[in-house]
Amino acid sequence: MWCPDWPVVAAGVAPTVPAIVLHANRVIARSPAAAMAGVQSGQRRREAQGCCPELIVLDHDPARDARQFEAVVRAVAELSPRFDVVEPGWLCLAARGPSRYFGGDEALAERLTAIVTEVLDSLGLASAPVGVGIADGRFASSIAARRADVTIAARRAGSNTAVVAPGGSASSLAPLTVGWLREVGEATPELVELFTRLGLRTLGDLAALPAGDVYARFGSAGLHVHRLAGGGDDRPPGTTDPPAEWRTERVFDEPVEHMETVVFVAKQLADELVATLASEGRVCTRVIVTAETEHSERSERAWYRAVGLSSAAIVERVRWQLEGWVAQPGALSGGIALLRLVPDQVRGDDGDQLGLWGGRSQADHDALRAVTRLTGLFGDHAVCVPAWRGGRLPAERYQWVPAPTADLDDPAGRLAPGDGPWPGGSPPPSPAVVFVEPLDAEVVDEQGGPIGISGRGEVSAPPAALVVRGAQRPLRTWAGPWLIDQRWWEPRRHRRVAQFQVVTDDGEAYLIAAERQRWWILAAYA
Amino acid sequence: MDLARVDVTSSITLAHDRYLPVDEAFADLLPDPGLIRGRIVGCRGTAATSLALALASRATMAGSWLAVVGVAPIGIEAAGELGVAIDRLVAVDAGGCRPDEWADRVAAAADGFELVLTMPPTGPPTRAERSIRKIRQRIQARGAVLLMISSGIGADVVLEVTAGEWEGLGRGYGHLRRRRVVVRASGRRVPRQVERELWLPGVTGRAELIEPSTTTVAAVTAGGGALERAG
Repeated sequence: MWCPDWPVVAAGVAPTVPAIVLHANRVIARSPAAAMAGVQSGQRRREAQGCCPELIVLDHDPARDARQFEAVVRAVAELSPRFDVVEPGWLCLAARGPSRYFGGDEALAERLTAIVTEVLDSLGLASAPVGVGIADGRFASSIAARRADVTIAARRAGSNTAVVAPGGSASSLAPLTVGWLREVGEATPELVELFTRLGLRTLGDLAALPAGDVYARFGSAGLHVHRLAGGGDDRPPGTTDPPAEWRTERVFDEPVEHMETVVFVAKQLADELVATLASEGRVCTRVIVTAETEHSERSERAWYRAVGLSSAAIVERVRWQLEGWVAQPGALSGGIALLRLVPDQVRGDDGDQLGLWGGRSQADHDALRAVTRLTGLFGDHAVCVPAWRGGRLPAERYQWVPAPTADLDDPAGRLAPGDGPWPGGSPPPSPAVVFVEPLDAEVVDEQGGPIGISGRGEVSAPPAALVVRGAQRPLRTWAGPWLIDQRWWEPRRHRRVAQFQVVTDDGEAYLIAAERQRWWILAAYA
Repeated sequence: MDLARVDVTSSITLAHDRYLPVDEAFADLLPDPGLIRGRIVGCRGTAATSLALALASRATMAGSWLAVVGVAPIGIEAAGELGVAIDRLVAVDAGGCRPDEWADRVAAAADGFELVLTMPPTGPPTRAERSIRKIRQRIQARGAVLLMISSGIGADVVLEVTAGEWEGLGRGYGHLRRRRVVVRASGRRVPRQVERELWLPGVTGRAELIEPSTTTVAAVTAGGGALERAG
């Protein structure tokens, strides 16, 4: 079952309002109205706003997505206990048992739709799109759910379901483009692009190749998607069940009330689990996360990720699960007393798992451990990493964000400068010291009088000295202003800032700014 | 006889195990081909922050991590322009101004990061020395390199920017383009004082050596800008 663009739905946006959710400056979800206007997933903010100027831009908030989806998950759990959540908005259900019980795949789909509709109505999200797909295997059914008619009208009419007859997966997949592999996260964009360049445009083309040739040319990643394209199941799980000693758990002597503490422990457990598996050359694709309170209330959920669950990915899922659980009224009556991670499905690590922080050298490993340890010792805000925010002032462009809140799996997404250029910023080189809180200062002319700046950016007199804490420092050279007119459309947050570069007579250079007749030192070229 | 031989063979280690690489611009300035692990390098003068970042840049590109402890307002963009791989850059809060707390955190950072950049809190020099003795033990044990801004206390190598002159800015026109600095290397691990002229940053944003043949000594007035940096 799949709810397209769940992040927008979870934010409570009506389908007639054009809205998008951005992550790392890329569109990850859009409302139907935005889709009508031509906004595409993966677009940059600028491009999307170009398609639709009145677009509402929402922040990416995985916790909100998880909280809202929790109610859906709980309802589905009553239908069948054998399911796993891939991400908020997407869950997979083992259909064989329930469908026999309810009298066929169609009946099951109808039943599932009814349950989900009821939950969404109660959440006030009645207009959310929902697609249900039933087919052999996770891949084929995920695609079927995406190809189903997800509109609200179809759901009311019960035609939001796509059922592929048993054994029919290969033929139903054959005419589809290879782009679907990327869509459901089974292949990298590079691999899909390579297939397209080689003329393998449909999944049928790919499936028609001999498996041996695919393996020789594209390695294990290629073999995996070849199997999927042919309607085969996911990676064949290991021949034996994962042994019990791989599970990790922590019993808290004192029940823990703070989410962050539990997440911190989850991080340790996840590190332990991933390290144990890695030492045997394995990776976990499905993990069961169990949390229990001191009064034996319990939350248990299975999480699946096709490319394998890294430690950071496991922690993220624990966080989703807890957020959702806590948000249920009356679900918890005490602190968390137990947290357990059980690897449910494990396979050989064939090397296509995402690297941690872009690589996994010994130095990266040590650094990652140090971040966790320092955060534990000195608090959540003690360790920060840089992240791109964008802006025209030096303190805005890159900012320090606490390491526990940053996406450490993806430094490129965190650090890639978004759309440029930002006109009005001072030219490089950038100042080596950027004050978080600008320092109060005064700039005076030859006679010691104040300096005014006209609306067109002309100074009333050449600046002659910089006064900091009463001490006057004559200026040798200066230039500016670089004018910034920010958010002129919002009277309350409107800012007009005039930036200057100055060099004092002892050779030190500063970036200073005037705003509303007051002067500040923003940064030093130290 | 046998023992002596064992000694000789065991002292042979890979270059990477002994030092972290630095930019060519610093090759003549430092007494060694790189930053020797376990040592403390002090950076002083007007351009101390840029100098320390430029020193760390090559090693971060080669995979080392740089932790900035208690120098909160470091310009991330400037670090990137000077060549620091900012995906391996981490800032650690120094926990106020107490020297003991500072020393604890620097030592803790040295456990996991190969490069640590810090500025000692102000206080009586004897206390600072005690703290640095404690830190030294840790960085020697872990093979890290400590870069200290605005202080030469306890440093093996002290790089001092004795003069700095910005180019590109006029009276009411232009913008800062590059800075010519004179850097002097001294300290107990430097057998002979060395002085070199660098662009810090140059037009590429990185540190560049100014070849002695093209140097015009008169262009840089010694003594100007030797004050401690503000902030």
